[in-house]
Amino acid sequence: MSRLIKEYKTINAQDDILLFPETADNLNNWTAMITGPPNTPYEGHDFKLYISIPDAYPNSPPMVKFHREAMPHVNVNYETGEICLDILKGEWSPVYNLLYTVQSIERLLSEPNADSPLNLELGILMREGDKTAYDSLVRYYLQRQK
Amino acid sequence: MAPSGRRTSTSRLIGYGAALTIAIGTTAWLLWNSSKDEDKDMRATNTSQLYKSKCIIVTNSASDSPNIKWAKILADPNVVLIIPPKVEFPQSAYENHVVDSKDIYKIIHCNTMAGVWACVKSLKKDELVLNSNDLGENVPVDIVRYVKHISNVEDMTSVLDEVE
Repeated sequence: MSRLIKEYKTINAQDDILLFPETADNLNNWTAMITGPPNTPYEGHDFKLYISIPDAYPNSPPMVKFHREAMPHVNVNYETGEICLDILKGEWSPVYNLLYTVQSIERLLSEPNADSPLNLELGILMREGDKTAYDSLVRYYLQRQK
Repeated sequence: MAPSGRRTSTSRLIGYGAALTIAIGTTAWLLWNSSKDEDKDMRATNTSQLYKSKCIIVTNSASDSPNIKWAKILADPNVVLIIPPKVEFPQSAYENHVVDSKDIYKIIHCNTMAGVWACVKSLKKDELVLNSNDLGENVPVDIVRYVKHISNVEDMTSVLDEVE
């Protein structure tokens, strides 16, 4: 817990980061807001991340999800919001922290990985190199939610 | 006297039984008849009413037609257009084709046919409307797992009239 308190103080001291615990007394559940990167179909949209901290943190990675049916992305299960990212699974290291995790997910929006798709159809579009269809379909899902 | 009384109550029972049988029969006939009428109504209903959401693959015969009112079609929140490779969506060629900017996101452009089918599978709309002759290839067999109904039509204009 002392590690989380340290992280909380660091994050709290920065104005430009939208990463906060549900309450100051409970550091086991956090929320983050990430912004769609420019020149991607996510540009102009904000996305909420739900983070829960396991007891074994930082030896185990935090559990991070998008809201259900909010993130059309090849590495995100659209129905559940589950994210497929190496550092959230086997590649986690205790030297990583919450801020690094959130920034990695933000980076995933502009660097999707077709090798580990959780959204099969978007995976096909990526493998086929049909970026026009990929971007069109993502924009359709994002706009439909409004 | 006793046997005669027994006879009276037996015939009364037979009478009640007969009346009950007639009542049940009449009710069953009325129910069957009304369900037949409903079936007729269902058959008469056009496909656009049966299937709420639609995914339309716009091929050249449709995109070249000046008579299809795309703006009106896209105003329906349940309709999505998929534009296959080498097909132009005539946004400004004809007056009726000018689509409201708020509906532009419902037009999905694809550069590959694999992309077209991946979009259809992802969208999972009730009905898929297409002209397979115009498309120049067969519909993948597994598409039926992703849509409830496929309208493979020769003349897309008539089908799109229903959508409007």
